[in-house]
Amino acid sequence: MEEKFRQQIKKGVLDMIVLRLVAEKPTYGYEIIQELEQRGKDFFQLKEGTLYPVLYRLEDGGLIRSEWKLQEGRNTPKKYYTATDQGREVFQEYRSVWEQFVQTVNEICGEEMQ
Amino acid sequence: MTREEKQMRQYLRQIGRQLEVTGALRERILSDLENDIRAGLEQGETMEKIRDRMGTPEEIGKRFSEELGTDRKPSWIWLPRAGLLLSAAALVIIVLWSLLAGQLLPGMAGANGDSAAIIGGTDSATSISVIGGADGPTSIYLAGRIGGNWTEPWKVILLLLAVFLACGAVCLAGQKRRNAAALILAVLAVATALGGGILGWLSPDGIGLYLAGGVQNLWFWAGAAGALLVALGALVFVIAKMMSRKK
Repeated sequence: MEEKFRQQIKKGVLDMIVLRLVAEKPTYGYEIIQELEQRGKDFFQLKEGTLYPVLYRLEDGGLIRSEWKLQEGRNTPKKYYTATDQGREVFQEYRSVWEQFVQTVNEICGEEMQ
Repeated sequence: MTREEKQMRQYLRQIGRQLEVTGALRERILSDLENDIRAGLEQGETMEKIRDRMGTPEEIGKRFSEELGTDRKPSWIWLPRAGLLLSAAALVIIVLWSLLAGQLLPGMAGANGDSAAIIGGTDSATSISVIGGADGPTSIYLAGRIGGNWTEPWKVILLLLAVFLACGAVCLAGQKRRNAAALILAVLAVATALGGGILGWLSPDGIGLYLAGGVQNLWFWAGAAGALLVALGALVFVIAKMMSRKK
């Protein structure tokens, strides 16, 4: 039961979290997965099949964009995702909504039940 | 190409086969996955470790389908697809064969001289007689026997067409926005199978063009029953899929 609950709330915030990571620095799929493993404690052990649909949704919505960059020491270019200006703005909106949400939920559920 | 590169290509190919998406989205996914695999290799991971971490191609394909909300085609989809191909091939062969033997349309050279067979033909046994006809009975045969060899290939053609339509219906069923088309095809399949059966009943002279001997009719009726069964099965399948989607 707890597992299902975790899945549900995770799904709700994934767009916001991925958007944040991409806004922090140009990054790519595998790196995002690694970051989430480190910083997300147990909550965000993502697989590619879960992450990429989120990235594509953000990209199609104009919140992030991708570009291929040629690096030294590599003969194939690497694909990086970065946040757009619109993406950064939208992230701030998401975060504000999230904070109000958390506060409200805590008010309802935080008190000990009689 | 290094060994790792080869294994990577193979892995990506296997994943590609499991992805139920096409075109630009498919390329997008595969190029991103390749990007990630290369990043892993650069960090010193082996392909084996990467495969372990990312999962089997089936798992990857399944998860993408779930998250993208695409319909996964069932593993037995090869059956109606094979049916589609085979019946189409058989149809082409029979149509060509009949054309070459001049037996597809009334008025063609090999049609037994019965180009006038439909109305007032000279051969009373094989024509529908019209009132006042010169030969044979003067009553109108309501369940008249349609004569002439030109109808013979059509019996088989209609049955094959029914199977073709039924397979098409099953292939389309369950896909988003395709259910209406699937239903139409399935209904047409049933109608066509019935049509073939009725034609066979109206002109029970066997399908002499390609099968000799007395078992002609038996083979035909077995085929007609089979075609009708397949068509009805397709119809039931399509309706069941439509109802399950509505949930």
